[in-house]
Amino acid sequence: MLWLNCPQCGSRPVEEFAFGGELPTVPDRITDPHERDIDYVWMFDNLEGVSTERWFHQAGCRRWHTVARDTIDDTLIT
Amino acid sequence: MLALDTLHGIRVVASPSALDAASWPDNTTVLRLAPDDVFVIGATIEHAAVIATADADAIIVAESGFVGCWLHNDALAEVATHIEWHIPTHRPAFAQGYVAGVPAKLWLTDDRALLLCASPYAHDLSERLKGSA
Repeated sequence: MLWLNCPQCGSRPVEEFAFGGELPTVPDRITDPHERDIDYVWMFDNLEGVSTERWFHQAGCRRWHTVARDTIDDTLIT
Repeated sequence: MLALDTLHGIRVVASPSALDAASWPDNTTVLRLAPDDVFVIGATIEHAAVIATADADAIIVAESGFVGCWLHNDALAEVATHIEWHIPTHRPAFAQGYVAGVPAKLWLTDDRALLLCASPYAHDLSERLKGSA
């Protein structure tokens, strides 16, 4: 089972969290503010490797946290 | 079955620094739900006046949306069998997470512990912990 480290509550099983998706990075080549917003919201990298993600600790502090997870073996990096 | 009673107090959402600097009466129980969120059992809105001064955007409201009960060591040990995560060993300590699959919180003191949850979960929690208290 995957365990996530909540900065407020400590290590907790993944069932306590809701997945909020990737924390995307918008490419520098997109300069128009509106296009950057669209890219941020809708375009995902779906990385094979270390992915930076948002997780919501719904059973604990009810706050969003940023997590780096290796999608190949489903292990936590930070 | 657990006898979960409504807990009355105040809920304060404010900047972490304002909450860090706040002082509360001795007869209150201060639960820091998040860096910017505190539930103070037994406090009134007047007690949070200092926070309102320190943070003009603070939200201070009366809170009666939690239920809880005090557990002594034997009952706590039984409840702990329904918890997957590591319960803090130091006292006092505050912990929150699933208890028997229900989002709940624990305030641990030297000789007893307060188990609490949001009132909509009260029935589920007490049903799943039948025989624990």
